[in-house]
Amino acid sequence: MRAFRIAGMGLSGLLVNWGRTILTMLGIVIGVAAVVLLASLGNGIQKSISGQINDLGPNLITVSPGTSGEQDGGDNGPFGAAAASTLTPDDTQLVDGLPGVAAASSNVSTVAPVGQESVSFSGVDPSYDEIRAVELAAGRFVEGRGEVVLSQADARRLLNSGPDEAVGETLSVGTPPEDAPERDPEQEGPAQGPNRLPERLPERLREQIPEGFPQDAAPEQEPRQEPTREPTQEPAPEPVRKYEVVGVAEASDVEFGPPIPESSYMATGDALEVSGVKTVGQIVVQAEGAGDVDRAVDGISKELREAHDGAKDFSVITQRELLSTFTEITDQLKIFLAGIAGISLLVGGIGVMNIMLVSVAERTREIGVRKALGATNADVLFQFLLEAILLSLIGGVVGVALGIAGSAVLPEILTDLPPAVVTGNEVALAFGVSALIGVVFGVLPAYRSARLQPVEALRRE
Amino acid sequence: MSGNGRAARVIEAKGLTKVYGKGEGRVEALAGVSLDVAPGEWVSVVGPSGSGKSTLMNLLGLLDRPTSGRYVLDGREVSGLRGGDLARARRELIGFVFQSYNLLPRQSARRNVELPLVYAGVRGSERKKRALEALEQVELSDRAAHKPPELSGGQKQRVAIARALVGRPAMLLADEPTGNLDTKSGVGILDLFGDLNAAGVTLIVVTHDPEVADRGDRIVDIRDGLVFADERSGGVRE
Ligand SMILES: Nc1ncnc2c1ncn2[C@@H]1O[C@H](COP(=O)(O)OP(=O)(O)OP(=O)(O)O)[C@@H](O)[C@H]1O
Ligand SMILES: [Mg+2]
Repeated sequence: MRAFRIAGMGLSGLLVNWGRTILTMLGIVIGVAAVVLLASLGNGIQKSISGQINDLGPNLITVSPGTSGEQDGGDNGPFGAAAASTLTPDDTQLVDGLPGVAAASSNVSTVAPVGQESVSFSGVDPSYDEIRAVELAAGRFVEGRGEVVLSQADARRLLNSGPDEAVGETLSVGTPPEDAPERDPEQEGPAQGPNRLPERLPERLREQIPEGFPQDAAPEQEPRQEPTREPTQEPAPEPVRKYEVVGVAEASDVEFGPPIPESSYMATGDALEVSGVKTVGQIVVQAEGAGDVDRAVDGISKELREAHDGAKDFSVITQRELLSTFTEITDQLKIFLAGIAGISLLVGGIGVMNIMLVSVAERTREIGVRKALGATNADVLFQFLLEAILLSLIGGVVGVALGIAGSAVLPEILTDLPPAVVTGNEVALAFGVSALIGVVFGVLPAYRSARLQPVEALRRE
Repeated sequence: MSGNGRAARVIEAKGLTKVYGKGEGRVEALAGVSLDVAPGEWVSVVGPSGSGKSTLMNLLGLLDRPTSGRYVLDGREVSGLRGGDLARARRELIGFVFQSYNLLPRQSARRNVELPLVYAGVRGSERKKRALEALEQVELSDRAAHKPPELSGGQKQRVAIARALVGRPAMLLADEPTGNLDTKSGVGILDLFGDLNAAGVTLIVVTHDPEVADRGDRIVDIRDGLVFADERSGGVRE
């Protein structure tokens, strides 16, 4: 009961001395907020840099057919040894499910005639643009059959249009049957673009509806289904099919790492059909993280070998140099940021310590008065402990809130900063360390003063 | 805790010494002071500056520890008390009035007066009632809500006296209570002491002022850490 009364008195003292209370709390608020802010900004920068390096493909694993040396596969690009390939889309499926593998895509290179022109296509899976960080100038990446993404050069060459206008156009790919060379371009060609645009829009939307989904048979849908039936109707080796241009790829400007070939893309299935082969030229794989590459490589080698009846008729290539550069940079960054967070924690902690020391030291006289009036040392300590805990908790919470708010606002103002990433660990560390320092250095000087004879405490100041 | 049942001597001090420092800087502030004070007595302590008056008061008020000597307060041996017992003796037996008031500046007069009761474990409503009673006793009821900076020196000292009284101690110790006050305020405080003494409160008051000293029943003259004279008031005058 007595403790309860002393506690009540201490709390009312905090309110009465609101100026000192706020000032002391401010010290803790600033300490905590600074640490949270710096750590979060640091995390954001780290994430941004890691992301940028990641885009260069350090996690990239290439599976190429043949047992040739490890260096050539990566440079062969989509034209790599397609003829002698033993890799199949099933292998891609197999690789995709292995531990440490984030995504895998087949890569089938083919050259197909489009009108008078001959165009190189990479037949790839929808995950390819993630794996190789394909930048799109317009539209989206290939998500299924019947779709193509053109390179900017091909868009200009074939459609004589920029990226935005090319999206939504339709291409006829393959050698046109001699009896109907003009039919397809007339029907769906770019010339009719402008006045058909509004009708085309719902058509494109329908395209995204999965196959087998019951569709209201719109009349303009029919020519679209024609091409898929054409191969059975006409035994031509390269039947004409109509493809919708769903996107245009940005010209790639990768400065190091495996070059992304300037290419147009279609679905793996389409490329296999167009080229008439059953094997893929390459499987590109993305490991889950830089640290997972080795694990993924081991898994791929082992599983593919088993799938190929023990034959090591493929090679698995990684970006070793890039990988080590990547880990080096991120390791250094990590140490640097940990250093910054540590220093800010230290500075914040010293700030908290300072303000507590000062605010409690100037209360030595008060402690003398309280002891002269019959307070025990324990009473004094209890009161100061309570005050320090309360100040540290409230100051800490406000500091965390301020730090998180600052982390959200600062990158908005300084647009060059990447978005901050607030993590619980750092918030807890900032809060915990500051609160601990606040409590320790709120109580320590009070303990020292309380141990004095009252008359000595009263003489201070 | 009231006057009833109290010992024949409020204070029995024998051979109190206090030595500050060591070696070169050694100061023997008290060289062996013995003092008996009966209940209801008003003792004036006088002496030249540096003679050891404050040192003695601090020992008597349990604000400091003697280097040697025996001190029985209200029939209890208190020289060896420590920790909680010492704090209890301070709040139950002693009311101390300082020259410089030593009020908590941010707290109202009433809250300042309540302070000893907080440590005595008295609950809030009772505390408030008793604090207001004590303030009434020092004729400051109308300033209960004021904070020390809003009070005059004399009023501050009254608050301090109310605070010293509120725990109903065995005695009131005052070290130059009028030292910071003008004559008029000082007289007011002395009149208050007179009333309290008349009501049975034991008083030990340090002063430099012979007129103030004369208000007491007894005058103890301290010189060089020793009792130089201890006589009934008026006996040594002129
Ligand atoms: N904390 C201390 N450390 C060392 N010496 C001290 C201390 N306090 C007092 N003294 C010395 O003890 C002696 C007695 O001091 P004290 O304060 O008791 O004198 P006093 O009689 O109260 O004087 P005044 O009338 O000026 O208040 C002085 O010589 C003083 O210098
Ligand atoms: Mg003195």
